[in-house]
Amino acid sequence: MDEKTKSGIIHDILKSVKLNNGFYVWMAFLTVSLVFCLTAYYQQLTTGLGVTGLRDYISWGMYISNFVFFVASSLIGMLISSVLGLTGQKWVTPITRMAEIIAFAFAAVAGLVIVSDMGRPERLLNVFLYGRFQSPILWDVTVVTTYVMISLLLFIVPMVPDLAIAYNNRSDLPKWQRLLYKLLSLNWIGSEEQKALLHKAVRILLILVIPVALAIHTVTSWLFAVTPRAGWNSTIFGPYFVTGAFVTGVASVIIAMYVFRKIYHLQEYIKDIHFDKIGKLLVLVSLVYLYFNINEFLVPGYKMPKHEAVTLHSLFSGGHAIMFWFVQLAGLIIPIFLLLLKKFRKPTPLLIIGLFVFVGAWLKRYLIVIPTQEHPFLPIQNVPESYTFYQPTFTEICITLASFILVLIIVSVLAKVFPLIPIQETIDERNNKTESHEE
Amino acid sequence: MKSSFILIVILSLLGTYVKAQTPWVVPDDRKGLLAPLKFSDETRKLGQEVFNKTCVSCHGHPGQPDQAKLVPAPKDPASKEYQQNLDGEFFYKITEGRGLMPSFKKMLKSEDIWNVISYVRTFNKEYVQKVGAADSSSGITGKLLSKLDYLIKDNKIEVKVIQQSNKMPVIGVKLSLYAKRNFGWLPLDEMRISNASGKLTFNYPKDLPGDKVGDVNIKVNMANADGTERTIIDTIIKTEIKCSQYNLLDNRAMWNVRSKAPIWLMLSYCGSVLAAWGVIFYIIWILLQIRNKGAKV
Repeated sequence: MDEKTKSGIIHDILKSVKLNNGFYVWMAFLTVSLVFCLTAYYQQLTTGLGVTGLRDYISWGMYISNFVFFVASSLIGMLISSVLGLTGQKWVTPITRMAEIIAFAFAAVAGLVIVSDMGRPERLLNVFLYGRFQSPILWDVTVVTTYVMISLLLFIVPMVPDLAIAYNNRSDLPKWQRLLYKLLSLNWIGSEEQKALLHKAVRILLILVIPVALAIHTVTSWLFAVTPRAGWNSTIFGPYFVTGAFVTGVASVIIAMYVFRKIYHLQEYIKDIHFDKIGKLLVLVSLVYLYFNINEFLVPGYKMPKHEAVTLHSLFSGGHAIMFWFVQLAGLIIPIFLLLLKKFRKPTPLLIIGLFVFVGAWLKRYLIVIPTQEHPFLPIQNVPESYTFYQPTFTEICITLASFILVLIIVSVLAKVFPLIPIQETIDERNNKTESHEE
Repeated sequence: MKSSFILIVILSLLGTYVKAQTPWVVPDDRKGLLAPLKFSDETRKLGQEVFNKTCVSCHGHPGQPDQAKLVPAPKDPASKEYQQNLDGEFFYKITEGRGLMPSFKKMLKSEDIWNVISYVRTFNKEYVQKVGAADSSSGITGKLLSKLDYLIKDNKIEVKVIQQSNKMPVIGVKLSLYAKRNFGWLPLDEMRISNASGKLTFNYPKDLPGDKVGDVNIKVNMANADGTERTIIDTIIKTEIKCSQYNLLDNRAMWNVRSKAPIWLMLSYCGSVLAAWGVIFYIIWILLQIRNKGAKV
């Protein structure tokens, strides 16, 4: 590859890292929205969880379903970088960093979402001081923390050569940004020794992240599955959650790919072929998830065990039916059929389908968490009417929105300050391609 | 299929029976019963405590429509229909019970029931209390005659009932025997009546286990005229059947406290955490090496 193309790639990818007015406006908007939503949290903190729709029977509501969703979305880092990367899928190169950013942002905020569900968040430390080894809550807190750390490393470590490139090529950047690059590029000079060490570190991380990512969502599913309740009392909850997570995560990446390609003008790096490939990936993970959904609903629905029938009926034909069938059809089955056709795997149709899948996936978590609690085995009695169903309040919705805003802030900052497309890998890959052509 | 059909028939018959329930008639001799104590703020307060513990789950909070949805519907204590009852009628209905309304004569003391009545009367502005005569039976006391060896040999408990003031035997008193178990008092024999010398004998079951040292807490209750009971003897007797209770919380288990977590679980948890974070720190060490290698050049 000639020198011009190489510098061209560096120039293209590093074009976005300078903070511009558009970014400031966007961040100002996000910050104002966040502050507004945080006043709702202040209200909850000072008044107590009574400001939410949570009551004695339905004590896990929007916060916990949102937490499950966030953990699910964070699994995508593992799928893209690790599973596909390690199996030699070259097309994932331009989207690996994006996937890692999404994984880190969702995982980091997932921890905060749990705190928002606590009436007395200052007692969080007690989970570590007095947590029982037997409690999935302790496992969950442990594994989320570990996963956040690994995701952060998986974001930074493969970026080390790129940061050196950015430091050397963009002397016009503000001092703090150059200092950041210098610090994180770890004196990278690209010597063979350094390359070998970096390769080793990345390899180990890519392998380590697989069991940890599986653990993070399996443990999240166990928070439900270890309780013998209708709808949660299932042996396939672990894989059911993990496969569902891939669906959510792929949809998040599709949205991010579309948006960043548009605003950073990355058409040359994120091409239609990438959308086509990730569209196929979405079909694959959706089919697996559909398989688990059929297992999860057809089998109990066939037996209709007496005490679980109420919950199942509320999903199939009762109060939650509209949401349930929307999630199954618009969030899963219709996307599968559409994505089998090539023309729907083009960027814009794929984005629309991705948005449906994303919303469907969020609602899906809501349907996993809430209906079960509305139908406990022992009848709900002698409580005010409002205790018998769950209705999220405005405060709750604001706090949930705050968590999404926080994810957007983290994603926006990381995707702005750091090169979004891996530079070194792109150059290496194009070199290899040219070499193999020349041979 | 057939059995469920029969069940439905029975349930629907039961339903019509319950709906067609006759009015609750209180015997004339019990109707006029009056509280042996003057209702006061004190009795109302105690009554409210008992009401909130015992009655509220079905009758709801007086004046609020939160009664349990049962057939027949439990009445709101603040309602006119409810307050129409005489004090004696209340007392009879609470002690005896009918259908879904349980009998409280073995659960509550006579005073407790009167306190509850005194509390629910606060929701009737027109109510004026008539106080009855003080309970004449309060001076009666009992004495366990049987000794340990006697008890073990023949499985009998002999009781003598005497008037406390003059130590004279009391004839014709109805007594019942109970033993304390984990969740309340277990009736042991049928009701016995004291004879001419104030004595009576209960059969004591020979296979009733005691605690770790064989102790059994027994009590003897005397039936009051109002249908309730009053404890006149409450004592510990020694038996030879010792009970070594196996406590599920003694061993390591999933449901136990942290210090009693299963070893395999603690090893798995700590092992996984150490392994994962060990690798993370190893990665950080590699990164430091990369940094050092670059600095040398």
